[in-house]
This record gives sequence, C-alpha cells and structure tokens, in this order.
Amino acid sequence: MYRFKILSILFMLCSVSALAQESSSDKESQRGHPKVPTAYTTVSVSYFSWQEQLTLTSGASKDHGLVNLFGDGFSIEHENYFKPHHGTIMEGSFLYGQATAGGTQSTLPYTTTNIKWTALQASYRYSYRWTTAVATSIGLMAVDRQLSLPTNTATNTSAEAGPSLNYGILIDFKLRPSEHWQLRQMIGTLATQATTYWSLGFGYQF
Amino acid sequence: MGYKTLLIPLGALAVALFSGTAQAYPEFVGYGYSACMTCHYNGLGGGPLNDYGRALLAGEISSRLFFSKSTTDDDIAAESGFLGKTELPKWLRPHINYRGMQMRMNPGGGANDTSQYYQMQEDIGVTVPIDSKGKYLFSTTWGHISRPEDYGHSREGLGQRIVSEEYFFRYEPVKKTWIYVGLMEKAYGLRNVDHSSYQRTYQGFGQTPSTPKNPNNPNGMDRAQGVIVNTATENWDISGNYFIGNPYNDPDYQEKGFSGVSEYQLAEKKKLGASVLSQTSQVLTKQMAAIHYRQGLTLGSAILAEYGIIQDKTPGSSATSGSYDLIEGFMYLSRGYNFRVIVERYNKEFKSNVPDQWRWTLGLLMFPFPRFEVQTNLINQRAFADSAAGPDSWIFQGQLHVSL
Repeated sequence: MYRFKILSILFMLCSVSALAQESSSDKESQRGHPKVPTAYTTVSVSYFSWQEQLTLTSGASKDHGLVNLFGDGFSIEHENYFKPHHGTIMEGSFLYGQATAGGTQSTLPYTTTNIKWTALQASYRYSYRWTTAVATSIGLMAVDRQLSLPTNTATNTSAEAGPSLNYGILIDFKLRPSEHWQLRQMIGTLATQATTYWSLGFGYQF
Repeated sequence: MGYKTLLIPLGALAVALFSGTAQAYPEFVGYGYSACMTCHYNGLGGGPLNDYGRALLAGEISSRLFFSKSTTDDDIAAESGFLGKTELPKWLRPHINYRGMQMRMNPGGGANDTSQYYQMQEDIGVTVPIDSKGKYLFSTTWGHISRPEDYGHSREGLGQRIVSEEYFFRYEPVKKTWIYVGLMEKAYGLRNVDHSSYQRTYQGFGQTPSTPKNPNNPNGMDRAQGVIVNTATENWDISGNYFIGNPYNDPDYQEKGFSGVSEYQLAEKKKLGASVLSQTSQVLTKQMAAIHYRQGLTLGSAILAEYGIIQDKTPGSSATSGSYDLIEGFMYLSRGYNFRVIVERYNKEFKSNVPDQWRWTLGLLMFPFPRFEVQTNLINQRAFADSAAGPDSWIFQGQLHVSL
C-alpha cells in the first residue's frame, strides 16, 4: 500500500509536469494546427455496453444482481469549434442490443438472456482538439432506455433493471486516421443504479 | 468455468508472473519510426536499444522539462549512452534495466481489494557489435528472477535465479537481410508493450510461466531458441522464425514450431501486416493467425489494431478456436507524455455460450526525463455471458522503468 501511494504521487507529479511543459517546449507547428472546419457533422456506428443494477422481488423477498447491456448504435453529432482548439459537441444516438440479467445474486434465483432493448441517448460536451487528428471531449449525457425483463413464473420473481431514464458523465477520445474517418473510444458512468459505460465506434465526418 | 474464474484472476495471472519483459513500442509509428530496426538491435523490436534508439528516446521522445532552454535536443541525445557523454568502445554496448509494478486489484472492493508490488525486470546485458558496420553482432541479457517457482523449472537460491533471458547472434549476409540465432521472442503480431493484455496473454506471449505449479496455463514462454530471418525492403518487412523451445521451460512445455510476421507500408506511417504461428509442446498444440495495422497520425499519436484467431488443443480434448481484437488509440499530449485507450475483446471459442471478455484500458505512458519511464493503467474487465451478468473487475497498475 505504501508503494502504491508513492506511485500515485509520482503519477500526479508527472502529470502536472506534462501540463507545465505544454506551453513552454512544444512547438505548435510540430503538433499541427487544426485545419479541419470549425463546424461539422459526424455520423458514427458504435458498440456500446454498460451495467445496471437488477432488483428482484418475490413476495416479501428482495434481492439484487446485475444486468449487462450491450449492443450497437447510430449517432449523429455536431461539433462547433469557437477557438482553434476549443469547441462543443451536441450528439444524439439510437442504441439497440441485448441484455443478460441475474445469475450472481444469492437469494432469489433468476437468470435471463438475449433480452432486446432500445435506447435514445443525448449528450452535450466540451471538446479539446489536441491536433488535427486527436480530440478529447467531456460532458453530460442522458440515456432513455426501454427494457422489459420477464417474470420468472416458476418462482414468481419479478425483475427490474435500473431507471429507464438515466444521466451520466461521458468522456470521448477521437483519433482521425484520414480526413473524414475517425476512431471513437468513449467511457462514462451513469448516475443511478448503473455502472461504467463504454463505447467503441467509427465515424464519418461530412 | 464461471465468469469470475475467467475475469478476476486474469490480470494477476497475466501480470504477476512475468519478468524480464522485453519492451517495444509499436505506437512510435506516430513519430514516424515504423521499423523496429531503427531503434533496436533486434529488428523485430524489444530488447536493448541501439545508439540511435537511445538518442532518439532521450532527445526526441522524453520530456525535456528538467533541461534548460539553452540545452539542445542534440545535447540531451549526446548524454544517452550507457555512461552518459563518456564514449565506450564501439564494440561494447552494455545495458541495465529495472522495471517494477504496483498492481491494485478492485480498488474499493472490500475483501477483493488487493495490492502487490511485482519485480518485473532486473536485467543486465551487453551487446557487442563485432564489426563497425554492425554486420556481425552479439547481444545477451541476463535477468534476476524474483519468483523462481513461476519461471520454468523450480529454481532456488540466488545463483540459480540469474538466467539468460535473451541472447542472439545477428548476421547480415546480404544488405537488408538479417539472420538471428539464439533465444528470442517469437516473431508474431504487434509487440504490444502490455504483456498482460488479452492479445499477448492468449497468444501465449504473456510470459505467464508454464510449470506444473501453474497447470492452468499450458503456454510456454514467449521466448524460444531458434532462428529468425528478417528481410526489409522499401515497403516490406518480412520475418520467419523457426524455434525449438525455451530451455528454462519444463520439457513438457517446450514449444517447437514456426512463425512469421510481415508488414507492408501502404503509405508513410501506415503499415498493414499479417502473422502466422504453429507450434507444439507435450501439453499444447497452438495455431494462430492475425492481421494487424498501425498508423501514425499527427506527431506522436497513433492507432494500432490487431485481429487474430487462436486454436488451442490439449491432449485428450478437442481443439478450441476463438478470436481476439485489439484497438488502441495512442495520443500525444506533450513531449514525453502520452495517453492511450486500449479496447480488447477475447472469445475462447466461436460459440454463443462462451463468454465474450472485454478489457478497456486507460493509461498514461510517460517519459518524464531520459532513462525513466512511468506507466499508469486503469483497466476495466467485463464479460458477456449467457449464464450470468457478473460484476466488472478493476485493476490499477503503476509501473516504473529505469534503463541505463
């Protein structure tokens, strides 16, 4: 544990020094000024996944487990850069996929799989464009998810996932291998009865 | 096998047991250095750096925060030798490497929250360029094995803990074609710096030992005695490897076979490649094939991708065939500081009832000053299975590397 703390301190010092030298030693000409347009629209196809808490009820008994959601989605986002490196992003997505619920809880037996779900997602983010090819953004997202888990009729156990409308924080990392195509990796967390959110996708900029 | 069995110990299994890891950075294609031979004595990457590689790491890639403005990059590069500015004879190129890692599993996870420090690399070695043009060259690296019970034969006592981890004789019979003979990492795939990644682990290159004390992993060591022929043209880089096993492995785990890796340069800083491997030991027959791609973006940033198929067969059981993917975004933040996001998926078998394992890594790769490297990784692992929805596992790694 002691060494862990030492490493953590070292990590922070290194990170601070990275920022400290940002303006002093890097040549903007080396890093490349953004030459992409100041405003543009990108369409993406992505793989998504996150987890939600599972609440099981059978009479007076209650139990908790997990729901794994994974699937694909189509997104459209509009980026607007008010400074060469600084901008905002508005994004809307339609997601669909499958869910697996239960299997790890201890009291009420319940497992179901291949349950279809759909969701609408919206986010608004601040974006920092490191170079013409690399950008990072962070902001808020909202997910409105439709998922109906079946009741286990044998044990009369009803199941419910987290709230259908959830909010969270989203960070994305974009790398652009060509003028129009981009790789997009996103991580976030949903606020209520849910955990880490991941997405991996490819986008085309118009 | 339950998802917990698959996920939770995986990080520990893959990370805890390796030592003497040769490090290579295919991500440096982002700096325009797409050929491993540019920086390494071994043209396939990893192992000791040559003079140019040392100078480049110090004078171009490492941060210069602690140097005055009047100190030029050339000045910094000139101090990158083993003894700094003091020049050694051209036939003598020693190296010393230390790498240690603190790994914390499931931070905040109560009883599952564990933390341990691992001595990964305590190496000393020397490379001897026999002639001035480097046509003939010999390199060897010796390492101290911190966990001898996990390194091939059970070894006790300090003297028996010092092993020759890598050695090779390199000969260039015709221009741009090299022959390597010795104990080397097998020629296959992108030499991802993270040996705990799914990619390296399931390829069998995680350096997870293969001993009777660790019977769950039938893979041998990633290094094997053999011959590698490497040839490079303007756009092609092709290597073939015939190997006969690692002498430090228990005999049953010594793998014999061949592998090959090739890369074609589509355009500047864009390399598309393919790899194959076929090997057999007494406990495992393994066949693999992969396609891989890496592309440099703006200065220092890069994208890496690999897709591979792995077929494993153990005696008395039918073969299992599965696949893996790796996609890495490597972002240059400022000189010496890089951020990366690595997404990996592994499926042991092409069957719907076999879980898909996902691993997402957020990490910093930092070179705060020459000879000094710091890595931090936050890793999330999640499995998608029909049988259950299990909890994620989390790993935090902090790694120090000092190279002289």
